[in-house]
Amino acid sequence: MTAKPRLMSILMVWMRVPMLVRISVLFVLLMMLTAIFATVFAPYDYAKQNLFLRLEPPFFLGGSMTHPLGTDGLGRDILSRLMMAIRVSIAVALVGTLIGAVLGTIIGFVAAHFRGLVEEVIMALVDAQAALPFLIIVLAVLAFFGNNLWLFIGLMGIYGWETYARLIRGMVLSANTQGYAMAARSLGFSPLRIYRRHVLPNIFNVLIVQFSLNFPQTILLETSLSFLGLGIQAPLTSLGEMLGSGRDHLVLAWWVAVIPGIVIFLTTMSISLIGDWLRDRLDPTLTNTANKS
Amino acid sequence: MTFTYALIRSLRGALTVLVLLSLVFVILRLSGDPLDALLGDDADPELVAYYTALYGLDRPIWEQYLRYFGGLMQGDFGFSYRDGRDALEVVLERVPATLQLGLTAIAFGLFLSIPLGILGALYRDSPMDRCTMAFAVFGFSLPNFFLGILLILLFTMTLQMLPSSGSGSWAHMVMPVLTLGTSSAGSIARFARSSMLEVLPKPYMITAAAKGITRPRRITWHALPNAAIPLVTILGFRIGDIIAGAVVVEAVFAWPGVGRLLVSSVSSRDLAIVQTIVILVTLTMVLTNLLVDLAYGWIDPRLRTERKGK
Repeated sequence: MTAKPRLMSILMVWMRVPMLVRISVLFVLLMMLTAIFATVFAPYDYAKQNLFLRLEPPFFLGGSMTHPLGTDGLGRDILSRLMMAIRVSIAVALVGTLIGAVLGTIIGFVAAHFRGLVEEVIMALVDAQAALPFLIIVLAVLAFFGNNLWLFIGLMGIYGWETYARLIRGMVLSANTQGYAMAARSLGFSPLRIYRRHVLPNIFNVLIVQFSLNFPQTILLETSLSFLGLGIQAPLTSLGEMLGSGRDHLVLAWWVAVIPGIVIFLTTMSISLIGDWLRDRLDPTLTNTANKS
Repeated sequence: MTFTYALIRSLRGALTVLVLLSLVFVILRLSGDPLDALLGDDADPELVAYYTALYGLDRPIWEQYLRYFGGLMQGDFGFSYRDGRDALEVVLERVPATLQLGLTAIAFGLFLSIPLGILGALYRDSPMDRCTMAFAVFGFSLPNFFLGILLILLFTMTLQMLPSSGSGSWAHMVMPVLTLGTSSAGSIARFARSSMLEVLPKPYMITAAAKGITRPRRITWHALPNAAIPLVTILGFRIGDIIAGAVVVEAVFAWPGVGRLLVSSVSSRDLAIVQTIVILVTLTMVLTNLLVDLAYGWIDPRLRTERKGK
């Protein structure tokens, strides 16, 4: 009984979403499903080499359907690799963005709650991170510590925390002066409860919007680094790593590099379009200032 | 602009540099014994003792910290592990190539994006505006390394017009500049558009129209200068994007600049070079942002009086 009206209302909302955003949502869903079921759908093992079948063309360029998207320089099936690469790139970016969001939000709350010296120190760190392109920071840390997967994911998490910290600090400061937070305080609720139960839900929309704007940037950061050979390392693969190694075969087999490139482009574009739309819908107060960032 | 404001901004900039340099020092010390990298694990104990004393590694940590700063102040950035040359010298000889690429790309990006943004705002919701917005999304979402590869496929592989790597002639510059310029042009075009859209309905624009000033004149003399003010700050931020972009673009096109040096130094863990580049980039960024801030107060007289009011 209840399922039907709910389905109807979801459909109603869906119909009001612009066409471009609808396509983007479907594409992102497809990417998510691919990421989750990468090993189930993949026709081959992504790392299995077959040196007799190197640089086979995809089916639309005269290749056969045994390797629908062809093979790479080591005779590995591109479709299978692509699915694995989507899984790795999306997982790394998702975990990274989540860490950044949680970390930044907590730090923002801490800055707004304690004010004074704590706030000054946090804002100095925020300034310091904003003063240096994050790619340079990551490269420096990787040079000093050497590369490993967990450090790399951690670095993706540090990316963007300062945006959240700055944003949340401002929102909490203004929320603290508003009636509902004061009312909760005069009722004797603990600060933690006020922040979690009253302030956080009120600024959650802003968080969601910021998350959807940060996510594609994290994907671009990871793929750039992996492309340079300094991010995700072989034998593991990512969209950037595929593109980077495909670069050596541009003359004979351009599709090895172009196929993962198109996937990166479409994924970041879809998420950005969804993010822009969400910002316009969820956060009317932010549109003026956020357009500038 | 008041002198105190400039002073406070400069002090804040200096503080940022101090924080970052301290972080570099901490990371340097956390990442392991520097002598392991220099001498190897099974080095002669006498040699280890000699270098420990030479680099002051037996001193207390705060003294090492002061020595580290003292060294930096005197231009002592250490030596490259690979060829033993002075790190600062190795980095500085790469700077002109990166400046050439970066500045040309910024000029190209502005030349492309600002007219697009203005036209988009003037003809809002027209096909022209759609093109601007599409270009903005495109520039933002297309990773620069992929754009670079697409350009190589088009201009080098298919048309055989341009060289895909190296430097030296204007033909070598075309694709790196296109790649680097386009990626930042997207967001600048979008920003120029929204900045212009904010200015157009302002009361002074209506006054100007009521006075009978022609539309082209109104736009050039009344709207553009006001819309340009916030653009100055965004340019400060874009410098960081250009630097990060240059790292990738130089790697794609084998451009002999600082970015490529950074990538190869990270791969071979040539720490002195990496540290030098990080410090130079920090100084560049902090100085640019400081200049932007000061320029902001100079361009926009309203900010000056606001500050005095405080």
